[in-house]
Amino acid sequence: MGVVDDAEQPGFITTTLDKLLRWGRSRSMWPVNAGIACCSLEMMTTGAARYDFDRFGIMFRSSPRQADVMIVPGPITKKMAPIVQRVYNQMAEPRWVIAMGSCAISGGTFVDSYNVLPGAETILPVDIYIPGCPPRPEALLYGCLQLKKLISETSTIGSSRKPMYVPPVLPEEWPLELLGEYDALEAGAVWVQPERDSPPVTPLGDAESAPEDEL
Amino acid sequence: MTPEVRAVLARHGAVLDESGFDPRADVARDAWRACAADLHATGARFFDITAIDRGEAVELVLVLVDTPSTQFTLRTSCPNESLRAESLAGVFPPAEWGEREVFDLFGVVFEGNPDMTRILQPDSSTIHPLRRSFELEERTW
Repeated sequence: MGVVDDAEQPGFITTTLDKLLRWGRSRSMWPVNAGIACCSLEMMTTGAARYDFDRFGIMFRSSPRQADVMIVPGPITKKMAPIVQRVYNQMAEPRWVIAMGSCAISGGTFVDSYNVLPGAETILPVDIYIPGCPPRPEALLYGCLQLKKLISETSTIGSSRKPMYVPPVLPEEWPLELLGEYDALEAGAVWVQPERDSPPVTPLGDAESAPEDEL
Repeated sequence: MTPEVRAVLARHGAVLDESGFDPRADVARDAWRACAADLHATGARFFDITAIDRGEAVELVLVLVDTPSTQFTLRTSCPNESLRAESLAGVFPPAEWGEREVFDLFGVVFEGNPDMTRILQPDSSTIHPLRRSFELEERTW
């Protein structure tokens, strides 16, 4: 990015569209307001005055059409899985997923249950994993800042379009619905993760991956 | 328990056991709905309906509260060969969802329930997970 130093026509900068979009998207992450289970209480706390999500431009939207981040706060039951997937498929692209808490990471204490999926990544392409039961608001904030870093490093121009996510193995027991011609990928098709400049990162990792600013 | 409740239980041949915390009355499955309807006529209120897997049979447990607020249970037994019982939804309307839960988790079919479908698990599920014979699948990772 450069500043055009022209005394007659001030106020110009030069940049690429890609960088401008990354800059904008990483600073206006709008999660869909979908509280699945008890971690959503911690999610609400993070959105409230003491921790204040809004100062990072993170504002909850009640419609998935207006959202680009999905925080999965809790275990996904088999009955809930089609709805969760439907909400994800309705979100604007490019879109990201945060798995919040032990249950969303691996099923947690319900891992062997007859009715709970072993982790959100069973049906969703998860970008950020936040451990904890539940994670503290600081951990959620840290995870969101890691996602912000990820977004600012990910090019979203060109071939990064994510159509409907189809899990590698389509479950027969709790069928997921296809939502029209655009989404009708072949059943069982393997969804390919778009290339990124950096791999997905987990919070509470090494200190080098900590965000440099704004904490 | 009020004398009216005792009279109804005696009329339907229920075996009363008052040794525990709550009085328990075991009734034959044929008299299940008629006994519940007569108890409803005495003013008893519906509290809960659930089931216990006894191995050979599934025991239905209807928890009621009579007028001076004494909780008691009415029980009946459904052998594994015929897991059926008459629905109490016509007597106690809230029993409809409780019966659906018992059907979902234990597999007991209630004849006369207006919507005898699963309530907790997805409709495509084929398991009744609270039965003792149900075994969890092996973890695949």
